[in-house]
Amino acid sequence: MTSAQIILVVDDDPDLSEALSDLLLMIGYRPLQAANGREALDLIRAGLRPSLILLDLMMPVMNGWQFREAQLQDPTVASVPVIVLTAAQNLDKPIDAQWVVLKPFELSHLRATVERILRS
Amino acid sequence: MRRGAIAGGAMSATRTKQAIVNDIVRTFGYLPSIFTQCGSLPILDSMWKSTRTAYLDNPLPRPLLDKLMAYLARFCGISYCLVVHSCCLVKIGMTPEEVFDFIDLPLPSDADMASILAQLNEESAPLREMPAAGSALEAALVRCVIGIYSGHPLAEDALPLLARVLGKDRYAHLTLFTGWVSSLFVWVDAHPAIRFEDNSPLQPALARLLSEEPRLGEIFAGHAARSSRERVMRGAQVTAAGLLDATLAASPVAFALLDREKRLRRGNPALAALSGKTLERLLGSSLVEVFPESAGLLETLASKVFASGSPILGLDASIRTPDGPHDWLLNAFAVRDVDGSIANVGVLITDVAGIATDRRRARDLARERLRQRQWIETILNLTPTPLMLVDSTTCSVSFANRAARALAGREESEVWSGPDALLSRIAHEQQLCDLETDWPSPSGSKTVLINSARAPQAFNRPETIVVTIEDVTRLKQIERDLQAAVRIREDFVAIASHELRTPTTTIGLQAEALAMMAESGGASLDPARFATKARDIQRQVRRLDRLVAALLDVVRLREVRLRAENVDMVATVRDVLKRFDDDFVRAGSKVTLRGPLTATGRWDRDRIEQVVTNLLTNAVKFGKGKPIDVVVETNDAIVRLVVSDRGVGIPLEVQSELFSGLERVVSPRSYGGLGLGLWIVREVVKAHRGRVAVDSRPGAGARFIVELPRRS
Repeated sequence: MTSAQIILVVDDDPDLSEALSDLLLMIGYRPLQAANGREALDLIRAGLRPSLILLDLMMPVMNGWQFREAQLQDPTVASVPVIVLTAAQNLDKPIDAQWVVLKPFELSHLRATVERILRS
Repeated sequence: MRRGAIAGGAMSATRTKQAIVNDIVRTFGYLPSIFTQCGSLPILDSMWKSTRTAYLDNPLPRPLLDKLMAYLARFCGISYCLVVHSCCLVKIGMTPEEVFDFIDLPLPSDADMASILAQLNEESAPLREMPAAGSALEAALVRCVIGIYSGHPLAEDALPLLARVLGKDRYAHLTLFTGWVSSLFVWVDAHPAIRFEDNSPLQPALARLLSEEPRLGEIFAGHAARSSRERVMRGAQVTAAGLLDATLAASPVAFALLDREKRLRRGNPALAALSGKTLERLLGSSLVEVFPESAGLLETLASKVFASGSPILGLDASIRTPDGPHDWLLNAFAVRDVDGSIANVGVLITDVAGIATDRRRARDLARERLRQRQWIETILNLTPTPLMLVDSTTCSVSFANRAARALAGREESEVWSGPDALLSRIAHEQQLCDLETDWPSPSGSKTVLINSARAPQAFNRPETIVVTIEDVTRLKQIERDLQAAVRIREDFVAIASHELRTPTTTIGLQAEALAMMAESGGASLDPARFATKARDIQRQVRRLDRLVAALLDVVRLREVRLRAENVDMVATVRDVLKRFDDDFVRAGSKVTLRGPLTATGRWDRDRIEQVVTNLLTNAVKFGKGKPIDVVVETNDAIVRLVVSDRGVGIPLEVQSELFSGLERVVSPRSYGGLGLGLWIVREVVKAHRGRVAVDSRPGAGARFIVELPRRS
């Protein structure tokens, strides 16, 4: 398990965050949870180097847009791939991210995207 | 012989120049300078002969001829004639003073001429002999000839009278003489070389004239100017007479000039038209012939003016004309001679009826225009759109309708109440279309749409700019409200979709986990893990159910009236705490309630329960598992509910938006995850006429305060 790739789940909803983490664990990844952008940023600055970040947009304290902005300005983690998980209506304001998976999603769809990104 | 006879014949028929000159010198004692310019023999011969016939051999008395020649010299533009012939008067025995008095006499006036003619008329005709020098008759004859020569109007009467008085032969000699004098003047005028100085034998006479009567010197010196002035004045008199005639002929006012016998001396076409007879027939006739039925009135009027000399003006009178009786306005005035005596009375007869009709028409027209203007103003005043008329030449308001006056909050209809810069823009631009601008008004600045168009100059009015000022303040407010409503709807949809999709996503993931566990079999089929997952799903469904209810509430908040009943805030908080005990325990937050035993008010129970629920779930969500305090306070008027957490807190810029006025709902982007809860709290509290506030510092938790009137 130590060789499993770390996936950082950033979502303010503990139920969703936990359910997603359970599944990622079941399919062989090592999930870590952050309740908002600020917690995620703190973890990264403390030295955490995830292979992938699953990012919610609407969160208290620091939302997804603000997190992404801060991430891109930090050269040490700017290249970490990010999949945005959000409801379609929240994309009125554009987010600077390559991948977006709309809620509600099926694990198979998310899994395929994750695997494709991590392979490349 | 033959040749000599021819030569002798020629000698006797045409004398030599020298012989004629000798003849002249023998006659005058010197050669008058007029003969020096004759040049060839025939001219000298002719001139000498005419001088002899017209002057030297004229049977009329020499003093009479000399006097005429001296006076008529005034009509020659060169002073030579006047000087020479004044000297001649000395030679016939007149003193310098007499010469002056004679030369200085003005031309005969109308009265002079009339009295001269009257005097001559009394003489037996023809005269048996010519009057003595210096006699009154001589003077009359001289003045009469001068009058004729200077073109006096009575010359036509004077000529036949003169012929009769003088007799045919003497009259013929007189006209020959005046003709010769005229030609002499033309001769002198045409030969500037003729100079008085050449007539040296006259010098002593001139010296005496000038020394004894210096005024003659002035006359001689100023002769050229005086002569030309008299010529101009004679022309002016003729012009004035012509102007008067033309004026009278064209005048619609009838004119009658009456003499003392009340006979018509002059009239005009208007008078002829009034009497119904031709002017030729009327002249010289009595008033009875002119106006048979109204002669008495006019005669009385004329007699009064003759007697008093004062004019009678503005007399209303009815005069019977061929068309019947009419009202006339009479003005009668004295016409005086140069000596001041009243020679005639002039009467002006004006058709008052015509003037009255014209005046009435003008008055009616003015009244009609005023009525039209009032009618247009009434229509403009009834127009609900504020409207102003601006004079394009003076850039000033000529009219503002009632709506415009109301907009400005002032009564004046000729005052511009908008911004000055706008007025000058209106004046300079051809037209304005829907120009949106601010407009000052007593109730604050308004948003208006300005339209302007130009009405061309017409009916004595300058080009007028019609300006409409449409108050769109309310429309603009509605537009802003609509935009805000659309934004709220968008925000609502964003929040709702986020809130709904989070649990549905979670349920989907957990169901998928269950399926994976079942499919993999073996160790994964741990019944305890299975049960936990199933309960998680159950909880998510409950959460979803609550969300759906909340969303329905949001919709219902707008539609359903509050059902007020006695509600105890303390009991409500306890119920909610009991219901969500599981959630609090799970989040790790310990909730403490402080307050009185009861705190009741007249509220809608379900809605108040919703407020408490939303505030508590928010506190749990953002409370980071730390203790949560709920405090209920009350007094006679209100019940206060305070929910405090010690969690992440709310950024200041978000706080200001949380409960800001109007329909603003907090932006889901800046405060994602807070959701509908607070929005619903605000709406419910507002519906109960209460207030809600937040007190928070980022990182130090948040305190929400709700105050509800006990009887809302």
